[in-house]
Amino acid sequence: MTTQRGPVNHTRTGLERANGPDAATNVAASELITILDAVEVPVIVLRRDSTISYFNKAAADVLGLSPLDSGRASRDIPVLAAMPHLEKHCSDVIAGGAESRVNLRDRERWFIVRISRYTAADLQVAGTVLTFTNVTAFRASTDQAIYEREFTKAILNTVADPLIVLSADHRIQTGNYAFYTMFGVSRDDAQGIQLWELGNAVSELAPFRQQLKEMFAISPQSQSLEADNVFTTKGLRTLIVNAHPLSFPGHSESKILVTFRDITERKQAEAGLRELNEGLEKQVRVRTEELSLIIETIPGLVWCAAPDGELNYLNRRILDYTGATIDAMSKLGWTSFLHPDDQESTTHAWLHAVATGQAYETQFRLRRYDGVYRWFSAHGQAAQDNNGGVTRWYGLLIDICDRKTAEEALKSSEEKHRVIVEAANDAVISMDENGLILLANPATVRMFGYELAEILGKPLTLLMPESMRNLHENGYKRYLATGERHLNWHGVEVTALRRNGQEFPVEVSFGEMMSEGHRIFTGFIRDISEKKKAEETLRASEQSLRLIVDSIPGMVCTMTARGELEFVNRQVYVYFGMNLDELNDWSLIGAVHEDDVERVVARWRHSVETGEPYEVELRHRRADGAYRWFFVRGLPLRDAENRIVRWYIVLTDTEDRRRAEEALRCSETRLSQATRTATIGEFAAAIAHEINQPLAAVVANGHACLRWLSNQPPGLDKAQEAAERIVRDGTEAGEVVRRIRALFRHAPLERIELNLNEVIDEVLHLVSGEAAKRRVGVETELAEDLPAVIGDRIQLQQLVFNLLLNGIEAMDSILDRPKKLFIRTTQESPETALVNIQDSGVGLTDPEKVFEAFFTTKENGMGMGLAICRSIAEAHHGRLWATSVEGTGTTFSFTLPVGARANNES
Amino acid sequence: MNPDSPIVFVIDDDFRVRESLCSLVSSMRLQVAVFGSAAEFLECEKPDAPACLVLDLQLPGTSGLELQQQLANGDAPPIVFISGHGDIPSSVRAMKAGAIEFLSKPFSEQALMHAINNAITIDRTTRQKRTELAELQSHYSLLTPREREVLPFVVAGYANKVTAADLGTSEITIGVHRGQIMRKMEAKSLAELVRMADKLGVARTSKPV
Repeated sequence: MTTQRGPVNHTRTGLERANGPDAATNVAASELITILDAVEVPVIVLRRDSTISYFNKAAADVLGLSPLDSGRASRDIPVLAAMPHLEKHCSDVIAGGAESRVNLRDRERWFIVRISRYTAADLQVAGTVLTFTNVTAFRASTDQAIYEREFTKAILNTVADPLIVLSADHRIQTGNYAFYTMFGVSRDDAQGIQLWELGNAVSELAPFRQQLKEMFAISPQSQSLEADNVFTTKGLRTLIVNAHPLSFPGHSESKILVTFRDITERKQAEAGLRELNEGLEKQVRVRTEELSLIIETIPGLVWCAAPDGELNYLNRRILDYTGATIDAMSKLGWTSFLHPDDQESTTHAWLHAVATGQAYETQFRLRRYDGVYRWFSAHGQAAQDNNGGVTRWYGLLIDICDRKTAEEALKSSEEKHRVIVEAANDAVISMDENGLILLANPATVRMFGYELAEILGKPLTLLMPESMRNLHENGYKRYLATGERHLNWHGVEVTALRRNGQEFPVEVSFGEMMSEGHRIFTGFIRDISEKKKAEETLRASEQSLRLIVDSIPGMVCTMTARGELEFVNRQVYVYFGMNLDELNDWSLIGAVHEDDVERVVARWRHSVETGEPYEVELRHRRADGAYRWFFVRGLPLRDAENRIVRWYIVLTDTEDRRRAEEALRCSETRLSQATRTATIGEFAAAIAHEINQPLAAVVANGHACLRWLSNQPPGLDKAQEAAERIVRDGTEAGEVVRRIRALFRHAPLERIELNLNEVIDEVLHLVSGEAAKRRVGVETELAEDLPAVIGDRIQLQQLVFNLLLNGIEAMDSILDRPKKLFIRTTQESPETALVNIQDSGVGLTDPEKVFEAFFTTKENGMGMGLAICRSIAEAHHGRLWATSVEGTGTTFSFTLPVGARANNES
Repeated sequence: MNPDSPIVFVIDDDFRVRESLCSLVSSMRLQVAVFGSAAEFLECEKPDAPACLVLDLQLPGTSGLELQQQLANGDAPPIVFISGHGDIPSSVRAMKAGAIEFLSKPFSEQALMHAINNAITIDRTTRQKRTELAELQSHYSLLTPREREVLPFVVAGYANKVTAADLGTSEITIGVHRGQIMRKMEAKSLAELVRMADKLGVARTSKPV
């Protein structure tokens, strides 16, 4: 603040007043004023009453005094008023004479005000002179210094690390709180002692001392010392002692600042860390070794590159494989190891990767040490720092040669398959898990009549008749869920549906595969409409053929070369009562009669060996167990090499014919044998009766005789009569026996002259009883002059007996008319005698049939009687026949040659 | 001929058998008559004496079995069959039809005698029973209708009072009837009367209402 001032004159006035107007004094006074005004120090002169007598320019400028202030009391001047006790000081100075200094603070300015006596010219103390020395800066710096000192002290005391300042001769001058605490000494105790003498309270400072001494002895350069020291309070601590020489410009004395740091924990930590580090290092070493091993062992070629793409690591394998050195591979030298065709693309890919930092993936052929190229797939990955910058490339080459070959093969095979599918005649359709059509080949289009676009993506059921769809869906769902198949996947016949609605038969086979985690089903569909038609036709023709074959009244079969039955016609089943399998098991040999087996087998073998047709007669067992004769004929079918492929066999039932033949062949012998047995029954009946009657009478008479004799009185006459009867009847019985015996004698056919009438009589006697019993009347008309016949008595008796008996029996059922048996003999011709035996029975429907062997109308008859009669007649060169009138009766007639004629013919 | 002495009839078509049997039976001190056929036998008048019939199975005309059937209705004598054939079915049939015995020729004298005696005994008993019955019946015919009414009650054991009540008459009247019945039937006791009634086939009355 400065007010506008004119030239300063006020001061002069003051002085003038004081001193009088002396020219010389005036000159001195004005020079003084000028000097005072030139002095920068504010000067104020105060009178004894503390009013301002004079002040210089500087006072006006600095303190802000104005000319108006001249003569004012100091207390009225603000700046002066600010000085405490100013008036007192002035008074003191005036009185005492000594100077005093007073501090003045005026706002931010500090002054030291020197108050000194002002002695006037008359040497009287006129007042005081105040000079204001601006010590603002000084104070400030002092303050600052104080502040700093305090601040520093505060810092020092706050600082954890002990700190001391030593004199040049190493005496402790000052220290911080931490120091005294650490070393356990008080400030006073430590003051002034040499550093290494520390430690009365601490007993183990000796080594420490030594170290310190040595340290300082070397030179007071800044240095450090690490020392271990045992403090009683803390134990062994490791300290770092730092000493800094301090020298200040203007201070000759240098000092040493010593700091201590307890690095015990740090050291421990360091030790621990070191251990850890060592451990880690060891691990790292081991790991590294492992990694190296891995990398070396990986069956892959491992490489690393710098961010610029320059290879900086190749594992053993790469080097071994290529037979190169790392130098040869560097600076893109590795590209020369690639197949010429792959070099450009690979280089391009690598450079691109390096430039962009993106993953590097490619495939190429790499030349082996022996010159052979093999396919590899290369993979490179960039390691990045935090900013995304590439720090290193890590890469791997994998030998995919085999895979490549396989891929090539697969591709070529896929290609082949594709061609096949495209060209196939069968429809090939692939569908996904949801049953939608993924692919269809051209054949599908042709077969179903759809455009390809119309069926892709549609469900497979589109191609099935509606009725089948549900079944398919369910089966398909079930398969997906459970893996159970309800169809045969290799060839199943189903119905398909064309676009035009036509249903047609197809044969389907399908398979399943996995593709990228999805199930794909592929089906092959063959239109078998034609095949079915052909089958039908074939079946129909087969049917009609079979009908023919089955109708043949003979057994037909075909057999393989080994003798297994392939085909048999119906008659075979019927005859044997078995089906084809049973027959094969049985092998037909089982059906052959055991007596024929050997012959049959031999014959078969012969045919097989010589190729002659197989012909044999054998007996086969029928289903009901009966054996029948068959004529078997077999013809072989041969192939180009003349090997037998098949046998065609026909069996003809010859049983009936054989039987007839056999009957024919044996009839005479059997007849004559049977003759005796057949008529035995009838004879036996007659005999039994014939003998029994007289026998019964004999016995009864015998009893009677005995009784009569033992009666009282004995009836002797009666007894005699009885005895006589015995003789009579017994003889008669004997006679019968004799006759019978004669009948059974195997006498050869006698050729004697016989009286036919006698023979007939004898027989009549035999049958008389029977006739009587049956109430048959017997009449005879026997020619008296009948010439003798030549023959066997017994046989002729047999003949007649049979005929008579027949006649009698024939009339058994007659009730309405008398039963009459009429016998007549006549000479029919000069050569022939004729005998007629006529009954009044029922008659015969067929007079010839009765003579057949085994023909009989009797329940228990053998039917041989009349056949025997006829054979007897014929054996005598005669004839036997019957004539009959139905309802009236039958006449059996036989002729026998007479006498001379028979003789001639014998 | 003693009318009461037993008689044996023999029928056989063989004369020898007839002769021998005749002699044999005579020697047994029995009357005997022989016939050659069934017809002959039927024609002949038979004495009223216990009899036995020795019959051959095989006869001309009517056979032995047929004759047996014919005689079954009437009061024929027991039959002993004889046969020269001796087939089982015939013998079984004969026995079932009630023959006493079946003998095959030649038969033992013992067997024959035994059979004949058996037959005669049976016939005697039969005849006796027949006579008895005839007698009873003649007695029964003497009863009045009322008495015939009362008889069932009496033999049923009902008291006279009860009988009287049921028949609607007095007790005394019943008592009288009872007495008459007893007298006419010649029954000595009620028990005897009951037996007589049984033989006659008179039903006993059930409890009267």
